[in-house]
Amino acid sequence: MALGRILRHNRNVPVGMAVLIIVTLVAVLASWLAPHDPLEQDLPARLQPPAWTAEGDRRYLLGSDDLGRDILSRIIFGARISLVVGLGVIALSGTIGVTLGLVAGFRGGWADTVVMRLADAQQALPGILLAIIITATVGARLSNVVLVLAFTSWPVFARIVYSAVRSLKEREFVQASVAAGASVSRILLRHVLPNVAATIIVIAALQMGRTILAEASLSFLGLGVPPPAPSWGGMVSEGRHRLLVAPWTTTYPGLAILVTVWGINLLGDGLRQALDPRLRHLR
Amino acid sequence: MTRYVARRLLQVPVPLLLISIVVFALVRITGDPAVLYLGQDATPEQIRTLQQQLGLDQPIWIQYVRYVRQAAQGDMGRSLRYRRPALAVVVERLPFTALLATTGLLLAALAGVVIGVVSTRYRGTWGDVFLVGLSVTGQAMPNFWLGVVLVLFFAVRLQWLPTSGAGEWRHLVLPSVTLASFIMPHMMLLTRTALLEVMQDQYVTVARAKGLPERRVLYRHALRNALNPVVAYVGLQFGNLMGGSVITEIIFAWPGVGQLTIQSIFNRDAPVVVAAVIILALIIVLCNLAADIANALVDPRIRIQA
Repeated sequence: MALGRILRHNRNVPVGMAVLIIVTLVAVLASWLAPHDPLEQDLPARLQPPAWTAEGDRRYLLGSDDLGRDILSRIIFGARISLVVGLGVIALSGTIGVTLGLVAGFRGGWADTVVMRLADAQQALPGILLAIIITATVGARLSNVVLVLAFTSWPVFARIVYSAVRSLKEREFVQASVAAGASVSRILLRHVLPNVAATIIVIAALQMGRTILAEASLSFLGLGVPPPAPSWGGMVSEGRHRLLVAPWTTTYPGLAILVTVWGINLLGDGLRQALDPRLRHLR
Repeated sequence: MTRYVARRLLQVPVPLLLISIVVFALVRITGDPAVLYLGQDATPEQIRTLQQQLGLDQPIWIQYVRYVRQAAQGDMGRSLRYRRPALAVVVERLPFTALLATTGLLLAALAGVVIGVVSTRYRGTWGDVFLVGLSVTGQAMPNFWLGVVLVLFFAVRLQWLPTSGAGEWRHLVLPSVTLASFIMPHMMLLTRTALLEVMQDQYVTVARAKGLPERRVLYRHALRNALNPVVAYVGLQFGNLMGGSVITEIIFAWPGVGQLTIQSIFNRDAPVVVAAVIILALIIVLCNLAADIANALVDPRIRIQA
């Protein structure tokens, strides 16, 4: 289905897409948009309330944290971390999961057994728990967070692609290219993959929302991107001890997570509805 | 049916073994248990003696095989911090996590189904749009943030409920709500989609054609059939909540297995970490097994396909 038609028929997709584009622009243009350096401390101006309140300081639109850093600038730069982790994890886990799913589904036999048992094993433990244990062991770093979250989320892709390939394998157009002597990689890339591409895009969008939440959760526990880097989950965690005196230190980063994930979920859900004809009339 | 159950039972140990290998290897990376046990002041001589006693001088795969053999008999090593059997330390915390997971799940199921039904009943109205919107937003909510906000309002501002800890029922309220918020939106949307799908079936048309009031059609005919996927989902989620309640347990200082696992990671108490992870994985695998068997009992197609 063409993108134009999806955009016209589904209200969720354009809204979700707009949110994702805005967050991406904020992340890319962070250096120009942010009024302050996100790491710059201004101790005399610590815990300033948002600018529109009576005691607010006009220099700090969304207030400042307990080191006098500008909340708005930290949220703007925080978008970079969330997006880098979200996109990095999806790219990595998507590539691994789709490849393994394609091979396991098409080859069957031992490849099927090994890949699917590995995927089962990961389902025996919630991803977030496994991610916590691994990051706690290997150390909290941006690259480690991406690797760990990719490691815990490839089975989602593998499973979906696996079952799609298993049913496609028996279809005539695939059988025909087998009979014509096409190589396995050619069959998978030219005939099978284009048929599961739509599903993969939907899973990628929905997984990206989950990944951003997972990164925020890890940062909240102190196991994500280490301070002083401005990660949204870390900001909620730093502010929660001053919740009563300075609620803005946790409220706005929390809202940033909520809106971003909401937009991405909307996009994923909308695409799923648009691409699955069975769901289209159930709204 | 017996064959199906037997085949599913045979699959149980595989994920447990794989998980245990990963965790066993991971905690070994963090440091030598003998050094961690004896502390900084131990002489190399003392460390070497303990390594020999514990078999730590052997290759890691031999250590692993011995660990599995002992674990199968209920011996999962001794906690470095509590100086007691690690399994006992973990099992002590299980009831807390089970209680939290159960109340969270019941709350989510009840609220999710009720809101899902209401939303379907008033399908297409502003109320429906609002409820669906609320659920979609709920799915995007970081639940640690919700926990923090709930503490602010109900514990600090209004002082109705305690901020953290465990003991009486009041301690359970905020953690359960936080945990439930995690799956409730999905439960609601699942109920709504299942109901809408069932409402298009012929027997619903027949019930309507008989002149039955819409309420009766919804509750007596459609809902019963629509609840199958919801019940299956509840079964699968119990295990996930047992392991996925880590963050909720930390926010509310709830003394469950999740909190113990995190504390033990930071305390470098390797035997407890490994024991906790294996026990949680075992519970999750068994919950999934129970859910699968229950589904197969209800739906013969699953038995044949598998």
